[in-house]
Amino acid sequence: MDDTYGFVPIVAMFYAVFHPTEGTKVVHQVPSGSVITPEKQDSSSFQTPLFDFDSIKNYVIPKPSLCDTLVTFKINSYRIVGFPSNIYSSQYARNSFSFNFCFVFPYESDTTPYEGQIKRMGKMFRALEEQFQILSRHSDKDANVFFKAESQADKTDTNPLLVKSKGISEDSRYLKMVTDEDDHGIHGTMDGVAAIPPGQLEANQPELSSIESLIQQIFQDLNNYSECQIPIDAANSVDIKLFPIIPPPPDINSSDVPVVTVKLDSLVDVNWDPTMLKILPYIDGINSIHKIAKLAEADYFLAKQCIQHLLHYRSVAIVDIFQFSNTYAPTSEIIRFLTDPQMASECQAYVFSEPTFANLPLYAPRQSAASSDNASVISGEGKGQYHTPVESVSPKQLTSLNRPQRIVRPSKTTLFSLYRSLHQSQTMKEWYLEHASVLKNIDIRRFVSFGVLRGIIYRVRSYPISTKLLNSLDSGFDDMKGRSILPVEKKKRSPTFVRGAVMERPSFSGFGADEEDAVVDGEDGEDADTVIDMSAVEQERIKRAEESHLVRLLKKAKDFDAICTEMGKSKTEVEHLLNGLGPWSVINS
Amino acid sequence: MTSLYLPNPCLLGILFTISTHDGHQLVFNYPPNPNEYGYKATPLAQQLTDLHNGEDYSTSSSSGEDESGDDDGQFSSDLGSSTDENTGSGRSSSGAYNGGNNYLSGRALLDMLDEQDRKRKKKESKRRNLMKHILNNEREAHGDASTVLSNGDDASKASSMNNSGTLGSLPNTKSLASNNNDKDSDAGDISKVFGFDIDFLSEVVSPPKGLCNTRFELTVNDMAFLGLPIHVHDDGNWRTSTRKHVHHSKSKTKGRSRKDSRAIQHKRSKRSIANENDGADSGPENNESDGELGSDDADEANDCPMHMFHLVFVMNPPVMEYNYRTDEMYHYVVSRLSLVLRYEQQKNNYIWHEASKILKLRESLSSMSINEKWNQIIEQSSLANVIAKTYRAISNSEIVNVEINGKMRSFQIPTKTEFKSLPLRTTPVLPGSTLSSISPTGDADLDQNSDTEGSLVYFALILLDDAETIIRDIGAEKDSVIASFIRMIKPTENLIKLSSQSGLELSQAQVFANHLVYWRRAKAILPLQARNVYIVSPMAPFENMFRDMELFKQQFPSLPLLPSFLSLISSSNKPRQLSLIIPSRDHKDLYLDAVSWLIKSGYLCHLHTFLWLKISKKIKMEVDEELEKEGATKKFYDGSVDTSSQYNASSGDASGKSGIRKVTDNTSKDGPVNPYNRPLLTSSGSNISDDLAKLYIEEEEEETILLDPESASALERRWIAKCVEGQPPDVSKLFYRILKYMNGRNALEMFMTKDNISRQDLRKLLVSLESHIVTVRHW
Repeated sequence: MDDTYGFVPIVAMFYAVFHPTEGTKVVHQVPSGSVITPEKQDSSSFQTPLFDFDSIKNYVIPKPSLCDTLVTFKINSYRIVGFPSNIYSSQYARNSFSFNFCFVFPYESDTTPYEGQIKRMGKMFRALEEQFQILSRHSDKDANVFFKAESQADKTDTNPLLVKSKGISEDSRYLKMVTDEDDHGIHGTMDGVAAIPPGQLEANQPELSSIESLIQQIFQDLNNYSECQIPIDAANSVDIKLFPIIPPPPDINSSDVPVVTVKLDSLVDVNWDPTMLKILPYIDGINSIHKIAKLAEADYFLAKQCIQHLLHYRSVAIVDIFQFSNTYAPTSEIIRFLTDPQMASECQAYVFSEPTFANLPLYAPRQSAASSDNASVISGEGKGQYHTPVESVSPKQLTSLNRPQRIVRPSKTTLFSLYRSLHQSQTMKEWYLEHASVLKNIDIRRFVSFGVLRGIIYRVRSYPISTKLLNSLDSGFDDMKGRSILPVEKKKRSPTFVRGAVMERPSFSGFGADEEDAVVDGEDGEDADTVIDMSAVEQERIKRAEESHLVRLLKKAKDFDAICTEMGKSKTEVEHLLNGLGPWSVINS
Repeated sequence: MTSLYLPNPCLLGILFTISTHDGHQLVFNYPPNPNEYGYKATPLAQQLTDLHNGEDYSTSSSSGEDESGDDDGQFSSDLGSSTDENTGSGRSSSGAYNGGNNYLSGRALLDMLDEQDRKRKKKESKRRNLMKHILNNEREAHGDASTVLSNGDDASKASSMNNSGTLGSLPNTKSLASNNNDKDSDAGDISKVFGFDIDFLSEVVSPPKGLCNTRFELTVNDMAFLGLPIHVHDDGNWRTSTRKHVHHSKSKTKGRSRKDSRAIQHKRSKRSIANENDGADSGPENNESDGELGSDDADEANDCPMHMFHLVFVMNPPVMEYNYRTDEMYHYVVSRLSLVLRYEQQKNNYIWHEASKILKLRESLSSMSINEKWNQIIEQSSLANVIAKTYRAISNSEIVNVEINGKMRSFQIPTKTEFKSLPLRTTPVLPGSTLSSISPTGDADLDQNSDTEGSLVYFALILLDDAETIIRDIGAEKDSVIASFIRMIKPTENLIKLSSQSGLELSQAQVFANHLVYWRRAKAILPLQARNVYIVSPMAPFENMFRDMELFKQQFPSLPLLPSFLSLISSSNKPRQLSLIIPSRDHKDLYLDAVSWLIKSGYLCHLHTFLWLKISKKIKMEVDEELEKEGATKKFYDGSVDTSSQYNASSGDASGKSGIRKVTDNTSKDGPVNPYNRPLLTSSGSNISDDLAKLYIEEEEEETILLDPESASALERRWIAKCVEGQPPDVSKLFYRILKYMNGRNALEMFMTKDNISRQDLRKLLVSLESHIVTVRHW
């Protein structure tokens, strides 16, 4: 399904009834001639009907057991959607009245947005017909050749005497009332013909000026505006607005990070859900859902539901937690960066970041120096620095603008080569160090989330594997609590830890403060101070609990993001715990 | 949408009706007592059903169904109010919370949400069971050679519940039948099916002649009756005796249907699906009309009072997937099966014989309970057997293998297990799915990958089953060419080698390979080599890892455990060749076997290398200077650049040579020539901010990546020539040979074998032209 909400136009609409003498027949149709050949052809009407109405009669006005359901069926290359109704009442000829408002669509189209509306409309008219005979009386009013017969039949039939003589067992009082109403109805209708405003004679009787103009208007309004509001009387109207049916949002994980795609702030109104309002400020493309809930002091499940709602309406997109220990690699879609004319320029605009400290006097003197010798600037600056505001500028520009700050945007080829240089076995940190010189003025987090959202790169997830756990699983000694693999005695958490042999992850220490912030998710899980205050026994107990928690997660083959979020610990802490469980390695997938 | 990659047949039952002069008759239905689920759609996990479904329409649906309707409501209201509903009230979920109390305690709310979650989980687990079942079957078949896969009877034995809830043993079915359904089902005959009177139902699904011999689709609320009613022609023939159409060449039809199936499988565009379907109505029938309609057919037809038969598939697809699910069911099963039945009816009045047999049986066995009776009928009537088997297999997303009038026929709704590009992480896929952007059997984008059509010959096959099992299943002779071909299939040998070894013609081998892949017997991969680079697939089914660990161990007891093995492959500084992991020469075969097992199970995927040609600024300037010398500059700039297929961006920077800038400016104004040659556009003007204090300049665009060197412009050709200037002749010769592949769409591993280029030569080329060639590695 594409992003644009287009609704399939209605090809035709028709109103059909079961005529007491003529059987199923089309009373009104738009456009003229689309379903049956009309009495008098005009220039706008169809030369030949779209399909043979006779073959579908039995589905347009089906037997009662199929009535009051949404019935759709195919004929030729059309799909007809209707909500057939059948009303039993002794006032009618043959004691029942059947009608159906049918919509004709091209067969292969998606008609789901209409279906609920058609059903609702059918139900409303059923109710109106039951109460006021709004439709059946109208068949009278339209008193052309087709309906004379019916009106007469109606009248004779609804004569109480006749009904009784027919031996139909009905409550006579009810019958009386019904016929009274019916009589009024006929008067009313007559008045209606004389164009007296409805309600003059019978204030509480809804009046329908013409079914024909009604369906005409529904047809035109829905096709032109995707909605219609057609008043029938003071209390009733045909109000339809089409809504796209969007697939339900996928299930999301606590470690997923929502990124807003619209300006949510401008959409907020008083009716918004309090949790939604609470979490909004924290949706910044950095915080995971778990963290958002925590920061907003909202319940996690409510927060998650809110995010899912936003996802449903495509107001947010989901990325992963950005950390410098993450790994990304190109996907087969990377070619689109070259072939899609928009993507590269959008990327340029999105990832570009102004140097954070550009306005500080610190860099002012450098500017003039730089323009003289740009080569040295490029090579000299850059190592690990975000802010290198200076790049070569042509003399012409320099003179035309009075000492501007020059900020260099990355070119598209640069961005492409940056994306392609990512690979499965390099963390962002290593990659950054390798490419730092060209990463000036690029917001790395945005660079990554752009790539991930457009599908040109993907997050390589790492799944920790504890060798000991594997062996214990393998030998069939599968203690569910995982106690078997937990070491009986372990060193206390020590500041230095031995990395697993295969493990070559760098730690984050010594990295810039900005990054550190993004790196650590759920850092606030364990407060170091409280741990220290506890007795050694208590510490040991907590550690045990954590370890068995970790083992449980390992058994579910969760990746680092999930484990960190679930345990509320940073990756370093989790790695630390893992060391406690013996040698371990990772799978990068 | 999210789950279109998962099979979901949504099949509730199959009806079989005939029309005679006496009227319409429901001859047989399977399962005997299907559940109609209140004509509601299959609840997806978090199914969003009809927005206005929950009004007052109450049916006999189970309580579970009702609840599903409720939590649907929560997802369907609009943004503001839906969250409101979640927090504000419990009216939709439980009566306990109703009344004026709009402020629930957090606890109660939480419970409520948990409740919803649980319900959803339950629904999900149902679906998962279905998937697991499919997977299990594959594994079983692999692990145990004696298991006969895809024997229709296995289906019922092994199956867990599918979403219709009607599968499994027959008594089970009965208990599941909704309670407003007939109470008298024990004795005698059923009087209602899907909540309709049998007479009424048979009438509803017996359309007038005008609607026959084309797709029939009737939906009652969300329950669809899908079929291809076959009506006898006026001349007494069942099939169109259009002799003039008969001589459609078979191959043509075949090619077409292959195309169709791809379109169906992979293009979500409903338009294309429906169009194909209409075409398909006449496709297979032509295929089969091979002049067998002799005069005796006419005689037989005369003593057949039946003028129409109709096999109706009843489904309740999720609302969102309605068109997709019905289309695939119609295209792959309904139309094909119906046309086969029509063929048999035409040939020897098969349908009428079977129908009368079933009717007689129903009468004579009327004293039995319905399930016994049905079992009897299925045993004795081959048509009833076909219907029952089809139902069982299709509702489990399996392959139907049935014998219709003495001939084996197979049907299936193909499953999607090959992906060209990585689906979203939240999108569920079948475990074991593989990723490959160059696979000839995957979801080919017909428009752009026409060159991969013939490339299947360079691929090898991995059998998903034991070779002997497959040979038995396809009914091949033990010592036939086909059988020996299957036995020879190895993941290390491509089809060219296989065909020369087995004596099968290459084109035949190709057809056969396609067949094996289509029928879920094999996967096509580039031949397994120790020099290939494999990575752990981003789609690897980690949720199954510990279970697969045991299977892996059984297969390869001497290798490290599965997770350790994967870790071995994935954790290094750079994705590396397999040969670097293999400890010694003796281990090679074992490791290759293991890798093939892992590819088959979706854990590994092959990392391919794709090339582009990059034109550096230096080259451009050099060419520019040359041109200036030649005095031809003008011509090049005015003429050729317009059609250039370069990847380039204009630069707002003024430092470049004037000539170069001219080029890029032209490019940016160009209209796109064609989708692939379209240069990247950018407006240099917008780069300059209106903030006067700052000057934004775009980094000088020094390099250009050629998108399609094969159709390069004159100027680009000069650039290309400049790149290889001064290289030894063998290098530049090879360079021009592979130039056409440097468009980022052809995997190096692939064209190497295709054009018979040695690895050494290629490496030499890549090293000497390192600065000009951009490599990208993905699957």
